[in-house]
Amino acid sequence: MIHTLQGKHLKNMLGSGAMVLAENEEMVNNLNVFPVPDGDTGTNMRLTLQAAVKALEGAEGKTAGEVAKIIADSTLRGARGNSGVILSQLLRGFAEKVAGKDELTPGDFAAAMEAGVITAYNAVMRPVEGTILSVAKAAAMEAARAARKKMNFLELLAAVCESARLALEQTPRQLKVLRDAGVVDSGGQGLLCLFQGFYAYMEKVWQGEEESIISSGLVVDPVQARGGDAVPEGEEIRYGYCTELLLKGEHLSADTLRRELSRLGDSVLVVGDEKLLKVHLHTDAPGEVLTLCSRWGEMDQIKVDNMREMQRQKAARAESSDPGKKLAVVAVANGPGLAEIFTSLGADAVIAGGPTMNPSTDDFVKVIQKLEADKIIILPNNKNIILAAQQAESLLEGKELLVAPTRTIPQGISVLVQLDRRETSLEKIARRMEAQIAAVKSAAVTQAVRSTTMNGKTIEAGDWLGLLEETLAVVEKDRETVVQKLLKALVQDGDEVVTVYYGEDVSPEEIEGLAQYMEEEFPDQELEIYEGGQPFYPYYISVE
Amino acid sequence: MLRIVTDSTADIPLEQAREVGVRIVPLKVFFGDECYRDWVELTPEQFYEKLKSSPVMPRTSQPSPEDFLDTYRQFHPGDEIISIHISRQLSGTLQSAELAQKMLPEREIQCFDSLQASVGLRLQVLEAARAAKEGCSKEEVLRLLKHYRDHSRVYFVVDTLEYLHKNGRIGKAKTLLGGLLKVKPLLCLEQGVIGPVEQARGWKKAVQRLIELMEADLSGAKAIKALVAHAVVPEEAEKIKAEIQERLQPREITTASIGAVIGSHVGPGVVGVVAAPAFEP
Repeated sequence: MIHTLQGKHLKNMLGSGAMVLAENEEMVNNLNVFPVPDGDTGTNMRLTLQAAVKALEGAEGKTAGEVAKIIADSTLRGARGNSGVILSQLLRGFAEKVAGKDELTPGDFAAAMEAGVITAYNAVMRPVEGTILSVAKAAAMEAARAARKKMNFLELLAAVCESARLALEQTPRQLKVLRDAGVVDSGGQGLLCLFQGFYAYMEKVWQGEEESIISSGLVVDPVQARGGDAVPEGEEIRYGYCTELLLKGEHLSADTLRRELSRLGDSVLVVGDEKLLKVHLHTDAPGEVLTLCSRWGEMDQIKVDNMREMQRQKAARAESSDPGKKLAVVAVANGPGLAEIFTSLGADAVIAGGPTMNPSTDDFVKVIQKLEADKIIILPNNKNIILAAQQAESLLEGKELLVAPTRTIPQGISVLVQLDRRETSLEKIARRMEAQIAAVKSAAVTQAVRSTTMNGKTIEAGDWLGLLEETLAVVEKDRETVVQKLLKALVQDGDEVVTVYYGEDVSPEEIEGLAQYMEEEFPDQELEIYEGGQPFYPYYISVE
Repeated sequence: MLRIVTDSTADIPLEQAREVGVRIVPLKVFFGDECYRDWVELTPEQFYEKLKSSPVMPRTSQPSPEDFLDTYRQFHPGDEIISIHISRQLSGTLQSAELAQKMLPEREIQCFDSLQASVGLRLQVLEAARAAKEGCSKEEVLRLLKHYRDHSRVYFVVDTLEYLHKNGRIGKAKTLLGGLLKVKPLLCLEQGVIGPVEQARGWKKAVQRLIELMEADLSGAKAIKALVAHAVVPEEAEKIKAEIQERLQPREITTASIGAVIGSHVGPGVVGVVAAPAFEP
């Protein structure tokens, strides 16, 4: 055991911390959502520390102050990413505080940690809580407390780790973007890895192996985003009561108490010293927790929260306060594939319907009433459905409706794709629709159910019919010829994309044949084929 | 003397920077562990070649505070500096610049968030540099910068959202992800973040809409300044330039390449346009 940190200790501690961080780099990367969710916090922090490790190579016989300065200078130069920059500032403040010192007492170390935090806060233009800064601050405060209590370095670093972990758990409560993503702050997690590396080294020192450097293999469990009594949303709560208290007494043992408490619940955290412990856990038996603790000493600041009730309230709040989307899109489509395509393009609801199954006004009203939007765009995608959609407006109070004049599926898709996501005025959206509809040429293939004459063409039951827009253009005995003739009529030079949505009874071989035909006849156009799954119409085709 | 500093996401080639008197602090591009300084060690052409053959996606990194310290210190102690950078919400570059500024309290350094990147930033930097050369004061140049920051319109069409998505810069355009149909997304850069505008089936249509939107946004503006940027599709950029020339009749319009850092985030094949009414002092 040691009473003061010499230069070599500081050097090895940092090496151990860098090692632990490197081993957990991916885990830290995966947490990264703030401020820029680019998934490289772990990498950046590792490389920042790597600069220090490299600079310390061969630095023998230096004082603690000198080692700290080498660390600070090299990380400032090597800082990468926001977290790396902040880390470099923590180390800079630390180094400035211990400048000139040969070795560090726990008090020196704690004061230097505090100085680092102040430097880091000052360095950031807009400090945000719920980040690495908050974790560093909690750890530094805990270190100061530990030093005042005359703890040795092993105890001090244990307390630092524990408080850092607690602070890290709190980060989702402080920062919405973390809460939404269900993660703790990545930079804070990285810092905790560093502290855990410090601790791992100190343990070795205690075991008399201080010179041995460091292949810790310490895999850090990612801290779960829970944060004291922050309530996970929708998630099943295992233990219902978040229980916290302060325990005052003599000869308290955090480890023993933690062991005993862990039988009563989870998320058990016990930190402090032999005179004062902070206790936190989730349990179904808060009474037993209190009974147990009362045997150890005097309790204070007892707090028991019903987490299940908090979850219910939160869910209710979320429901009532959600202003909802202002604008929603309702599309009519027949066929599971088409419904999926509309949904994927941003339709909020898809009503089943089409040429042979026209939805009623009531169908529209029911669906629209459920939408949290006061402005609704309907894509009827069939001329026989437009009217029923328009009538819905009179039955819907407080909702503004725009029924797009889309008469085919491709027209509906075209309007949806080109919808300006920034625009909220239905009037302005309507003004652009005509052009959007005109920009797509569409065709459809279906089968005659009885014999008749149309547009001067004699049709027998069972013939295949090709429609250009809604006009009968081709009548043939076989389907393939109809499709080919339609394509020849539709595709012109300068067209870019031909899209085919095939219906429920089209075979893969037939699609294969169509693709081959397109390749030969229209090599300049890109062909996209989707399974629409619609009945009665084996093909919808669009050319844009 | 008034000095203009920017970072490499302004996509200003080194030679041009020297000509106009702008100092550039490069960001870094990483292919695995290989590190390149943007524009200094990796030209756009080299970058997109590498991108084709590289098994890993490139990553990027802001300059360190030290990089900015080194740059600022190269100037005469009496010089004033305006340091104009990529939007804070897209990169930590400003953070490093501001740190360096704080570490040099004796110097007159002003950091400025362009709320832009690439062409949008480039326009601000080049206009600021021109004004500085003409002898404008720091305050005058800052007024000019605020004008272009607040009045620039930026639209761009990407070949795929994959790059923006993987690098976490997709911003509000996330709503465009996941569409089953192949589309060309048309995006804007407003208030420092990337936002969705709409989608088009087919490249030509997307570009057509870009120009239409620009025309609508800037209708009535006299003396427009515009820039067209592209990631190795110079013919496309020339076509767009010609069309904008005809329809918006800008006072100035040029084309430029998109460098490695921005390219890492938008991917090859992107074209972007910035246009703004010229600043009238």
